[in-house]
Amino acid sequence: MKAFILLGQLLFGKLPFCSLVGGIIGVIVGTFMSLTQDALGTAMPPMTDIITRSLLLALVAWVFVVLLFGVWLRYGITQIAAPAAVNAILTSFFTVWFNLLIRVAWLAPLIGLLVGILIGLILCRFCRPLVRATGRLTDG
Amino acid sequence: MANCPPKPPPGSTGASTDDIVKTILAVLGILGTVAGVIGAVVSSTSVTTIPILGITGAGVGSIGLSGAAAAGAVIVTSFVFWFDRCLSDPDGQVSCSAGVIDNIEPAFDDAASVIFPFTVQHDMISVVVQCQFWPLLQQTAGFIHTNPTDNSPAFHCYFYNKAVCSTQAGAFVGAVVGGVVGLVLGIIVGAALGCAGTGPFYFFCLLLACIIAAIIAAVMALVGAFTGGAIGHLAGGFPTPTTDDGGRPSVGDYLTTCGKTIIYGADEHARVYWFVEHSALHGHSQVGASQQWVHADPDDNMPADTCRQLCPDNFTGAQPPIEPPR
Repeated sequence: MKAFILLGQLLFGKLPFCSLVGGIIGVIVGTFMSLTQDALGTAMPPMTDIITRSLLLALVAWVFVVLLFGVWLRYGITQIAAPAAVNAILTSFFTVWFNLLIRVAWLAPLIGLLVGILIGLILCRFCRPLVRATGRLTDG
Repeated sequence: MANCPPKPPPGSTGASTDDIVKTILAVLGILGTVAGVIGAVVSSTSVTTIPILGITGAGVGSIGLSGAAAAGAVIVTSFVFWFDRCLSDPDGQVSCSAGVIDNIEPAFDDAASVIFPFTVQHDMISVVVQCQFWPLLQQTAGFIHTNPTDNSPAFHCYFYNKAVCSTQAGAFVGAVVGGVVGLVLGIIVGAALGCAGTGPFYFFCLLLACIIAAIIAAVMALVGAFTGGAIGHLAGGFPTPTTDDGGRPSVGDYLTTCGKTIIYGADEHARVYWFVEHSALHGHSQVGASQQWVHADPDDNMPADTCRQLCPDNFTGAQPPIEPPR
């Protein structure tokens, strides 16, 4: 476990809060894409299909991050829910889209991770600092 | 009035998000990639039978991997919390400080700690310290907790609670058992959707089946964690934080604490006691409401040498060290 802690610090130690949220959303969406995108064959689905699937995956990832940050880590659901929804929709759409362009199934979770971190970095510019339920501040 | 060192600035002194999140992200990234690699190697979307379970259906390989990844995510998350609270033995320095208690957060005091027992934290007592201890509180810290009255710095003092660790252990075991049951149930339900064919519709159906299997596996793992955590909590009893002489600290009490202090990644990288080993009460604050939770209260109304009495070897305040006996 100490190796994972060091890896987490090494890779994500300097990332702002929204990037961590985006990264988790990206990994979840990417994993589902990785396990299902081969079923599509070589055809590129229409944009409406891409949007539908990315919204479905965004919902699943959003529920997880709201549970993780809002409840398990005590940041509060009301603070996390709306910003995480924007993050989830954008990260999910771009993760699905990039993966359908690249079509390397095993890479999908890592692509999702990168997309989520980048979108989080951009969104963090528009966020106000979060206050934990215990009154603690955190950046992003 | 005590001769105080410069007051530390309140709040974050740099990046200070939770270490727990970073660890979970690292583990989920690896878990997702492993699932993706296995899926690619075995062409999971084409797998139609899981012989060990006797389940057949188009794409059951992907459905099974989705369930396994979801159950794995809950199990790993539960373990990360357990490791953080109970199994890690972080490096720190033995320290001592004193002040007035401005807040107490008992373990098991909120609904989340009961419903999701793997998130329970040890009893935490926040102490607005005498100003002589500000340098200790500030030392290499990424965050300074303060009381909002006048931003007086406060030390978070965690008291070890054995019921927390038995609950965490029970929750982890429960999550593993529930996750395995949920994985099997998830595959059965996902396969029952009967996705077949090729193209966009099959892709959408398979995606739905994978999501359903993942949700079932994750929920069952959480149910297992809840059950195991409740059993562990009962086994651990219901201890509360007490001082060396058996006293029960309450808000407004003057308190001296001594133990290992660390920079705690799950508490904004603040310097905290992890854990308090010795503690003593020195009466109750009598100041008016406007002066409560201000460092001047313990500075003026509490003896300045309580640490020298409680933990002479670990005295970390501003006074000169104890004179050796002649």
